[in-house]
Amino acid sequence: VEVLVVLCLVVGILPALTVEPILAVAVAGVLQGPPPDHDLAIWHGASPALWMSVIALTGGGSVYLGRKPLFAFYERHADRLEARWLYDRLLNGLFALAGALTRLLDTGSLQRLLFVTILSALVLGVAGFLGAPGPLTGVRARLPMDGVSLLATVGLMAAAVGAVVLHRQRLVALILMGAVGLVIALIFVKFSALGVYLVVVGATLLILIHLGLMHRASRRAARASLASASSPPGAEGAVEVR
Amino acid sequence: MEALIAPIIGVLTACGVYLTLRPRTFPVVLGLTFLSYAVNLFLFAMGRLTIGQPPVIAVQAAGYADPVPQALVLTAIVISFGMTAFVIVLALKARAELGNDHVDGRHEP
Repeated sequence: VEVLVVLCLVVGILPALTVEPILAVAVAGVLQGPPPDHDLAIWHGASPALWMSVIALTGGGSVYLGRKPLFAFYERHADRLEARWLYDRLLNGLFALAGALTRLLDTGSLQRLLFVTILSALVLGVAGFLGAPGPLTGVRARLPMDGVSLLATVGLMAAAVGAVVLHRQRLVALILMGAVGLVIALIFVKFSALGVYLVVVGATLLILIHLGLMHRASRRAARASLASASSPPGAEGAVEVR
Repeated sequence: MEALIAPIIGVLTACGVYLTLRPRTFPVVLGLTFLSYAVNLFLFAMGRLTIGQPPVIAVQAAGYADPVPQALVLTAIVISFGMTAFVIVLALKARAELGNDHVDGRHEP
């Protein structure tokens, strides 16, 4: 122990003579270059570190000086002062809060959950834009517009809006969505992405086929359930197999 | 051109969000497809739009199309397509099990 104390004292009182070379080597190793200009001093002035030391010393000293009343206080209340009570209270409160929040958001409705998800994405996105004031457009000159592109854009928007308006007529909506997909593929061709074009066309066709099958299956199921509703319950099995 | 792409993305997103919030499974799948189209276009437009640039190395080419957003879009298309197929199968299964195509599986009056 005495050796350690002597070591501490030596380093503390004469830092420039003892640890300076080792420190220089370590700094050079970490920074991967020559160490910056530095000066190991004992007095750095009234820096925040000094104030932190002062606060720590004062607090520790006052606790030490007032230890007798504190010990007496502990002796009197030792059996009642339990962190467990606080922990239980806090945990139960958090559980109740989480349960209330979950009941508020999740009413068993997918629409509501989706709405909350989309709304939070929107709010967070807008908040990000509001928080960082920057230009929305860059310095690059815009590409020139041409008539065919304008026509394609208008057609795409019309098809998309039409699909939304007519989404109850599933086959019509499906055809309009196919049109949207193909115009998007043409957009990729226009902006020199031929590989993406091929994949978009393929994916669009496959999605169309899938959705068409879904449409057919649901129509067949609807017909079957209609038939089973009008026929005796013996036809129940045919609906299940479908 | 950018002034055309931006409204396209906006309209597709709006349509997608509206359809996604519908109570039937078919419009929800349709809306997810619209949303994925919008996201694909957005990802692609992130890497700047270029017209008429060769995608692979040519001798007398002045510049090339940026391959990074294209790769991103390809990945996004494949993922969204897989997800759409999965959602369709899920919707069909729910339709067969529950007897209706409401997203919550409840019977409509």
